[in-house]
This record gives sequence, structure tokens and C-alpha cells, in this order.
Amino acid sequence: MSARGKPAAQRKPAAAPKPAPMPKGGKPRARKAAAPKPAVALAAPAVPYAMAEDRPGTLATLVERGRYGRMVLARVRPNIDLVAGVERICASHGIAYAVVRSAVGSLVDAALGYGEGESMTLITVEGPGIEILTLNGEVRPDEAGKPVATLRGTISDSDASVFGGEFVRGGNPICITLEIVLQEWLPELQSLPTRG
Amino acid sequence: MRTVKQPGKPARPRVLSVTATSGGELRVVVPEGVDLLNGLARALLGVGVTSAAVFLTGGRFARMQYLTGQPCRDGKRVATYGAPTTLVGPVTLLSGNAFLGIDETGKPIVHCHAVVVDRDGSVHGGHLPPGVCSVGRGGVVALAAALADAMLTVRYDAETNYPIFHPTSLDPISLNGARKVAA
Repeated sequence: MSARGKPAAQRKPAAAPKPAPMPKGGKPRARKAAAPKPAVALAAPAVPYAMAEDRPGTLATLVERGRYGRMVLARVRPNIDLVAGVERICASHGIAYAVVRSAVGSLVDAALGYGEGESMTLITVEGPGIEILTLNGEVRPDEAGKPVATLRGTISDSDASVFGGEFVRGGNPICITLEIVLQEWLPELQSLPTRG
Repeated sequence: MRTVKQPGKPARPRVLSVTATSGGELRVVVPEGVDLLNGLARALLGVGVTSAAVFLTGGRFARMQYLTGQPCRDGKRVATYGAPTTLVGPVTLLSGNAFLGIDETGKPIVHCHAVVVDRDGSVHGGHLPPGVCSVGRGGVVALAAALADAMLTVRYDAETNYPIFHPTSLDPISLNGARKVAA
């Protein structure tokens, strides 16, 4: 286990930890299996966002009107990757957009990223028995309509040291269980102009 | 990605899920002097909610304990809890996630993990046991999403050798008004 207040490994990867092989202990490992295909075809985003009155040179503020839909209660069993597991839940119910309402669970090991781009730092923390303290995030479809989860939160190791960041795909296997409730988000209008 | 061998055989499916409709949104303030988990359960049961997904937005503890996981040495399980850490307040609750469901005997149970900052500024976090987390001044605020036609029920899980929350669908209200748990 790592020393208190110090992650088991911390380094700056050459690139952001995008969906890719999981670096662990400094050695990249190939992802063993691709995410399952959605059981139901999912719709891709309808239109790009359009904004008004944004200052030149700044990115548009995105406003999306919608409503909440179905809730999904789920349990993810051991050794399933956290990010892939959330996506699998959504795909199995034909849900393209969702938000995490609550989640409690534990991890075998943890991989969290913080920062951005070339300066993205990856923290890996060795377990097993790492507690997921908080988990926030949402699921949005990619261009092909496949649900993609972006999850951030905090964890604690056996020494009660707390770490935070974005959960890296392929690096956070569930240890005992993940209990999670997701709620479907149903976008109605994706191009609301903003003022001021 | 490292995987671990559990004491029992891998159960299938690896991801269990059921859909539910919202049973309404609730904001709960657990007041000073009340145990967080017991107070939260009582408050939700008091308005007829037996299963909910809860987001703790923050608050304060007068005194609290938490547990963290560690490898289990006797081989009966992959991981277990270590000795509790006790914090004397004021302890600030930064955030937390929790679920209300029912245990194997039908009693309400809350499973809660949270992150806090102690009075010296150190950040801690772990599993909060019931009966040992006394809410401090100002209370703790919880946002609960009630579940109308599904619930979380504790069942023994032979794979991990732990009693664990499982999603459970509920049949529509039967003619006599009772709800039946679907197998």
C-alpha cells in the first residue's frame, strides 16, 4: 500500500489519459476487451450547440434544455472497469445521456488523472479495498451514438489518504461492488442562446 | 488492469441493473446532535421513502468515525475494513454519496461514503458506520432522489463473501396494496 499522503505512483504521461491502455506502475498495458455494443441503437447528438453574444475569441457557452427521465439502479461486480461498467449500464437500457445521482463502492486499484493535455498527471493508487468516496459525472453519446462516461471524484486508500481526479478508463477495476444510480437526461433543445 | 480473485465463483451477469421511475426529489437537513445515517433513514422513512439515491452536499459533524478498506489477510475476502478513525469536531463534510435501502431482515439501512476536512485542515474519507457520526452545528444537507418502483436490497453475495446491496424491481402495487419483491 502507498504511504500516507503519497500515491503509489505519480508521473506525467506523454499524453492525456484518454480512453487508451491503462498505464500501471509506469508500464502501459493493452486493454483486453472492447466495450460491449449497445443493446439498443442510440441517437447521436442532434445539432451542434449555437450561441449568441459571446465575445470574439471565446468559446461559446453551452446551454441545453432538457428533463430527467428513467432512473437506473445498478450493481457492478468485481473486476469490471468503473468507466466501462457505467457505459455498459447505459447501453443495456438504450440510454445515451445520463447523470450520476449517487455511487458507493470500492476499487482494486485506482487511476486518476488531473491537469490537462501534455501536463496531465496520472495518479495510480494500489489497493485492494480503495474506497470510492464521491463519484460525479455524466454520460453523453459519441458520434456513433455510443454512451461515453466522464467520471470524476475522490477515493481513499488503506491509510485514509484522499486523492481526487478523473477516473481513467481501464484503470479502475471494481473490488467488492459498485452501487450506482444513474438518471437519464433527455435533451430537448441543444442550442439556447445566452445573454450577458 | 489488475484483477483479483474473489473467494467465491464469479457470478453472472457482471452488471446488474433495473430501471425505476422517480419517486420525487427531497432535500433533507439532518440537525445537530443527530446521527447522520440514522437521522437520514428516519427522515426519509417518515415521508414514505424506503429506497433512495442520496447526495450529501455538505455540513458539519460534532464527532465522527470512518473506516477505510485494506487487503484481507485471512483469505476469506479480498478486502476488509481496518480499525475506525475517530475525528473530534468541528469536522466539515465536503461531500458524500449514500443509498437508502433495506437489509436482509427488512430493516432500513444506509450505505454511505464521504470526504471530510478535520479541524486541523486535513482531508479524510471513508465508509461512515451508523450510530457514530453526530451531526454538528448547522446540520448536514442531503439531496435524495426517491425510487418509486425499484429498491436496493441487501443480499448475501457468495462471490465476495459480503452482504451487498442489489437492485431489485418491484411489481406494480397489487390488489391488496402490498408490494411484492420480484425474484
